[in-house]
Amino acid sequence: MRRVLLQLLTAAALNLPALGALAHAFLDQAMPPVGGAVPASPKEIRLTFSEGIEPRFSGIEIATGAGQAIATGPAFPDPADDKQLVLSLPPLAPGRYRVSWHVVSVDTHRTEGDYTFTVGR
Amino acid sequence: MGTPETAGDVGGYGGTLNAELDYQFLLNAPHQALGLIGISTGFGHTGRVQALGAPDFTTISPVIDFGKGFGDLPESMLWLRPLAITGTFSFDFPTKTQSAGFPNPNSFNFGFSFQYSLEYLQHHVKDIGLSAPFDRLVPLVEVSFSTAVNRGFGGQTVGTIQPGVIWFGQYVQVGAEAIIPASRLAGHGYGGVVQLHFYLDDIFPNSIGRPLFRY
Repeated sequence: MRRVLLQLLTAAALNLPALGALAHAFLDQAMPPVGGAVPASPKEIRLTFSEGIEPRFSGIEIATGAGQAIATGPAFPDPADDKQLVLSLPPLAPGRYRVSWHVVSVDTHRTEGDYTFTVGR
Repeated sequence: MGTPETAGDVGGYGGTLNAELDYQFLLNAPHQALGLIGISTGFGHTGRVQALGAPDFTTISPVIDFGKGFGDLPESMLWLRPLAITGTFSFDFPTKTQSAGFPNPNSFNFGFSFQYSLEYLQHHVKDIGLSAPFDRLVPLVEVSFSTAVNRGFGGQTVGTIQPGVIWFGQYVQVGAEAIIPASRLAGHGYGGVVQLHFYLDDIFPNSIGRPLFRY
């Protein structure tokens, strides 16, 4: 009986689905802030990641709250900090915007995410 | 939430070697959903059979895993968007019907985890001012049950509920969970488990962590 219980307990323990290792490159800071509001159109989006990124495989896109893409140039790294990715913005009308980013860290892990911010409200 | 098409691990109780081969049949990024089917194998005689009760037989287990994040919920439900659920179902087929005179029943196993990622809340949903180390915490609850189905033990169930927390950093990940019995056969004692993962490719970026090809 004890042996069978040990087998069942082992099976239950091996069945635990969560405690796997998580990925590596994460967004540390964002400007404009995640889910926040700014009083006027920002000149740029500046994202700071937890580790250095490969700019050739990284990018930022911005769209209106309705999903319409806003034309911008490509995102570029901050020459002084390889953890930062910057996107210059055209003037934005008041409203809600969605920022989508994807990065490949220097150790080749790809991560992506998105968030929203509001201008002028 | 990882999306491995193949996975393997070395571990298990008693030091048993386990390996798993998975096929990802579902990946829906906009809805943060994935599903895997696979075969898991616990190899007999790879642990300490006498000292720790590791099995002297191999167990083959078909497995179904799934994961669902709730980041696709409406923005008005922002406090629920960092929630994620993962689950796994498997059926164990021991390759020996008995060992040392005791039966090795087939068993059905299932487990779920309910996770709340403060990292996702802070960096994907709303900046609430969390900073390190709190923006890398994932409180979670795991439940896991295993039920024998034959060989005189049909219906006998062992289950646990495991509340805990994971913290992940740049180089390491630490997880700690309490173990609370959730079935009569699991007993009345409480326990705990701690896991420590090292990100070797980040710790050694110029050797084992260096890409084979630059571009």
